[in-house]
Amino acid sequence: MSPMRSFQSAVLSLLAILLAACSGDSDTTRVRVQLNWAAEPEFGGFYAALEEGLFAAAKQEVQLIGGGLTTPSAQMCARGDVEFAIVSAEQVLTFAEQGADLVALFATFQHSPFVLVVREESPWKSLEELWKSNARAAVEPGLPWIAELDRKLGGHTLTLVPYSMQLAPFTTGAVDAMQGFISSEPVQLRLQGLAVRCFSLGESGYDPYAQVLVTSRKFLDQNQETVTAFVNAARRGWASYNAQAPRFNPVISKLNPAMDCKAMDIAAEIQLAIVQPAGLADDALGTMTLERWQTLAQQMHASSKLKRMPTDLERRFVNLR
Amino acid sequence: MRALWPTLVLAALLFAGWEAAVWLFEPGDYVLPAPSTVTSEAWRSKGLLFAALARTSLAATLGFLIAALVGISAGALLSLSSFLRRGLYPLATLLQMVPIIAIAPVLVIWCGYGLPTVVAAAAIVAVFPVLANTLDGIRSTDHRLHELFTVLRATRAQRLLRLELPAARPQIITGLRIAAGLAVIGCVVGEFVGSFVSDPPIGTVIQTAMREGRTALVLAAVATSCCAGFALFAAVSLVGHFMLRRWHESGMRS
Repeated sequence: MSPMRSFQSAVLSLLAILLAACSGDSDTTRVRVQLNWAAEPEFGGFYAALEEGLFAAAKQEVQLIGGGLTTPSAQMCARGDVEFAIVSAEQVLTFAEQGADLVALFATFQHSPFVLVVREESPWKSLEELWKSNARAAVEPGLPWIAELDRKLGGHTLTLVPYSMQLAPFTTGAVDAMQGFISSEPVQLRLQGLAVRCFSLGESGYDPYAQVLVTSRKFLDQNQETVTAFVNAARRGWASYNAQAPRFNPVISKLNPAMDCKAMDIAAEIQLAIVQPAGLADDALGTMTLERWQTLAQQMHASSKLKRMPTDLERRFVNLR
Repeated sequence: MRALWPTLVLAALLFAGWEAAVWLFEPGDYVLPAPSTVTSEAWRSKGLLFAALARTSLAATLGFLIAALVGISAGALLSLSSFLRRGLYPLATLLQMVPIIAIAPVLVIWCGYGLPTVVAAAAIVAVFPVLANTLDGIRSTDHRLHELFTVLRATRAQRLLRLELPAARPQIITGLRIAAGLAVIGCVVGEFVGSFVSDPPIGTVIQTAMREGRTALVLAAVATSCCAGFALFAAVSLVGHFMLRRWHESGMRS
């Protein structure tokens, strides 16, 4: 064999090895999930499914991609850059108005985890009192609950400033209140030694599915089996996480050193009441109702967050089994 | 107007190509809306955008003026002493390296919410080009003019105020032109974390629209912020033209 032929065959062999390595097991489907926040207990069931090998058993190689305040999860999923994403139910509806056909598959929380956190010694006794005070609150601009509360309570007098994913403005007193998930910010503040109280937005009457797993209509239509298998594995993962969160939290904490295991254990305990309210069976975890979607659409339309009242709400979500 | 036609033709071609590409490939409005969609969204949201532009322009102008004042003063100061220059200039370059997106949340804690944080972010981003160009301009003064001032026994202050700073005007104007655009960028980043949500400036409008998948409004808001940058740039260029038109090549040609 000439030196040139030897070189060519070596290059071809190398390419073949690389291709084989890249393709992996041909039976396994590669699935990417774009999260909208860092690894925290709010995604606990997905990490539990990964850790327990439930996705692998469904022949799926799942990658959970951490996100943040500005991660365009909905856009990425609608474009097909990722197979699944975590977004809010409100985003499913607002993006539908922009032509993005997203389908909600699994609602992590059955009730909204959104709260406004205030210091224990603060004078406000209710959400309404806070909303009508001269306090300063850090919120994420554009969240529909602000418009809905304004509509319901006839506007606000408190000053709203942007939430920057940091606790410092609250701990230093730059703001009097801040938005958060009941399982995240208040837990971390208490662990820092701050006594805080929470006003639940869900209990105020605005109670959407705050966090839903979505896929694009196109991916769902072309991969019904894959999507169903993924949702079922995720549901079993959530059942495991709800039953024994401390077993999985060290894995999640490794991916998010900003929140330690102790905080995650407390968070998981707190969120259990809204992830799996009393009476909700394991096999009903994540399911959604048309009535809740209709209520959300009506509230968003009334507060001008939706230009038109959607007529195809039954297409915006599906309960797969 | 005659000088503008190449720009106008190129812009028209670019927008026509963009419109055609959207019509042809239909990427969806949440990915890439057509220029016509952006224009109609801008018209529909004109009240919101004008109010946001006013807030952002005010903060950017204040940040720019502070950057101009601090940059020119610091440049002049550093030119007075080689010890100061060698000691402080490398530190001043740090201003250029500051990732404003990372320190903006800290600015909120230092300066509080509202105008102070946004103006500080704009000034931090814009100050270095003014400082560097002022210093370069002063140090590039014709040595024959320096000799003349020596013969005339000028004091250090007279030399700075009557020779070096006037001679540095072309470079200072260049620094200010760069700072004009940067001030708006710094301002919008500051608004992401430090503005009032109820009185949204451009940065807040962008954040809200992004969350709702209203890419057309995002692009309309970006175009609006460019208007603020263009206006500042044009103002500096106009001032520069009047300052330089009688004696400097760049002023006479413009």
